[in-house]
Amino acid sequence: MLIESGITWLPPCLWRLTKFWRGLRSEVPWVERSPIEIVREHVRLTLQPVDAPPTSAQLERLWEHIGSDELLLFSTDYPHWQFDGDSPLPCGLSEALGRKIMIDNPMATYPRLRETLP
Amino acid sequence: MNELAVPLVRSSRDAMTRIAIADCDVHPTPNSIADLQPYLDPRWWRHLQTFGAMRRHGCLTGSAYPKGSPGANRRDAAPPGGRKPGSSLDFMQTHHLDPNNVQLGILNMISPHPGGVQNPGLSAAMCAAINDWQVAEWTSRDSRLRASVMVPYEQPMDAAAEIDRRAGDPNFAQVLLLSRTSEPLGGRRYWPIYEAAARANLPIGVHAFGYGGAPLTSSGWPSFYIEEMIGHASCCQSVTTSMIIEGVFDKFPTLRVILVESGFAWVPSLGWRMDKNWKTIKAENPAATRLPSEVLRQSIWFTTHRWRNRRRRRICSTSSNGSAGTG
Repeated sequence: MLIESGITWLPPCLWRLTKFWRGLRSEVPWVERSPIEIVREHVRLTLQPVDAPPTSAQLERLWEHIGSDELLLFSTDYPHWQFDGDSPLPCGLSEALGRKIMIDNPMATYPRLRETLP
Repeated sequence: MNELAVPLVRSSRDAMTRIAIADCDVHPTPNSIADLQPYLDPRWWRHLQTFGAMRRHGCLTGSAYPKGSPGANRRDAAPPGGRKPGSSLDFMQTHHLDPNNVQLGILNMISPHPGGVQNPGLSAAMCAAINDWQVAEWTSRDSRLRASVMVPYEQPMDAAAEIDRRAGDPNFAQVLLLSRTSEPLGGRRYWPIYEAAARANLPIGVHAFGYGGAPLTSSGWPSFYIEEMIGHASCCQSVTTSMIIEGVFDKFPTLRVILVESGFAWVPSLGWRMDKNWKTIKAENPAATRLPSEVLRQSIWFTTHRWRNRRRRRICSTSSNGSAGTG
């Protein structure tokens, strides 16, 4: 779980990581899969403070770069101030992605969340 | 070492029909440090022979981690006769400049770049010697090539004096720094370099690498070379952030900065992040007056080497303008 680290740096970081993994993987032979696959499986990020692009279309494009909409978990960073207005969700986010971020992804990430449900 | 690398050389005839290009990152290197002796003050040559050139890197010689190939060089770039890759102008011409139709090549001397050498006198003397060497051995022998002014960047007053000395010399096209310095490059102590560069109308090139004394990643010392290589991108993000937020481009509005081998896919994300934080806490440094992403678009350029071709369209579609790459 990367908490409060921002999110939009991840695709370029993974491109770079994967590029150098291809060239230098003989140095780290135990890394047998592409780093981008490992991150998709094992790493999650919290939403706020979100370093979001100006438009929601660009933000949606970023999930395409990552190749997964399962990495992001809703967060507010309360009581710190990280967003304007009432909604901590970036404006223009689709309803489906909003649901993934706020409900499905946290439930899938923390096994004990489901246990506490009535 | 990559045994499967396919030589990229094409025939000279091929080049006649291809568009002329400017290659903004070509690395010359002396075959051995003795090549620089004719250009170095004898006092400093004796010093170099006796004590060596210590970098801000602890009591260690060589690179921090073994590289993926000797000198990180392409195997096909080795000149005949066993010389070091990048040490022969004749071979560079037939292997790279002619077949690729490079009509303008910016020389970035990084092996070594003595600008961060601990001994201040040696650092300044070696930079001056390399500047003379670049003109004598490279630019005066091939009109396509332009040199970078090597400066002792940890002593900014000496660096500014070296820029002033080369300001009117058309052999030089930029000033060259490395990205890992003893403090982030936006700090006031480095501003005499930017003032002199702006006065001479020379852009500042910042090439990834160097040793500044800090751990090689922003969360500490990594275990492997591959981590260092990936860390150059975050180091260059720190350089970009520092120069913009600390107000370098507000103080020197005509200054142009080129980040060399930094990668650039991270640029849109960094711009969004800087803008977000600047809007809420800009009162901390009123000297930075403009939206960071606007300054970034106006004043900073990036060389293309180290990108992955198939991602190009995606990056351009994410960035709000497509002008990230140059060279």
